[in-house]
Amino acid sequence: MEWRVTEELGKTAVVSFSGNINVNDEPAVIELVRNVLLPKGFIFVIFDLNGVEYVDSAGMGSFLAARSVLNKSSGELALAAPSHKIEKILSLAGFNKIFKIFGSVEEAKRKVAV
Amino acid sequence: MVRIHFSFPSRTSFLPGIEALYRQFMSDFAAESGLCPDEIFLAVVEGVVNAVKHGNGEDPEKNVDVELLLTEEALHITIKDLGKGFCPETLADPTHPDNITLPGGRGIFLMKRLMDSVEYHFSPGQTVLEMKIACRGGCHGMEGDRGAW
Repeated sequence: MEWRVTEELGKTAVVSFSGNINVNDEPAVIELVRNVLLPKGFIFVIFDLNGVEYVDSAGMGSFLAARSVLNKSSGELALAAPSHKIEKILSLAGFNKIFKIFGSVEEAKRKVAV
Repeated sequence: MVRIHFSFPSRTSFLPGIEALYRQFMSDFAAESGLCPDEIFLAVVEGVVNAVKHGNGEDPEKNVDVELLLTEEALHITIKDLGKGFCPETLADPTHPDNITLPGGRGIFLMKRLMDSVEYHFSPGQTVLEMKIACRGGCHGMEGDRGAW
């Protein structure tokens, strides 16, 4: 997994991921939010999943942990631009009920960015 | 019938290598099978990670064995670890409102929804996971619809 912050809009940051998000990446996702984004004041975060090949159950767990960290600072995590395959697997796990999942980063920015 | 078997020390760092072997196997032998390689691989990942972490406790002196067996009818996946096993009946539904925000507990749930059958067999000092998916049956979740899930 690789990531980079692609946009910074007030208290909102967009982070683009590529590769796989699996058990080996779980700590990095949480550290990204806790140690990179929050110290800069970004409490609303959009994960751009457009370049992601697959997310396993541990990767999904890392999204929950990242969201929990942001929620404690009155922030929120949104997911954007997942491939059809990843959107299906997120829905299979029920994540469509607890996460804001947007079809594009632009849509997510319109509805989430602060 | 085509078969590949590999064994590796209990480290999740081997996942990229496992993916490479899996992709090569599916590309060479299962391209016309009607199987959905991405969703099957996710089931493999979940099974392997469970074996490495929960079965063998990430002890590199304990290996995990993986076998892919492709026949005309189905792909059979067997994953063995040296763990004590567990009680599958006690696993909670991770999509239940009480559990949906818990960080773990989705691996076996996903395997069951992505494969036609998922069975664990326990014996002293060994846990065997057997998964099967029929060829030409379409996809379950990620790559299409294959009945109710």
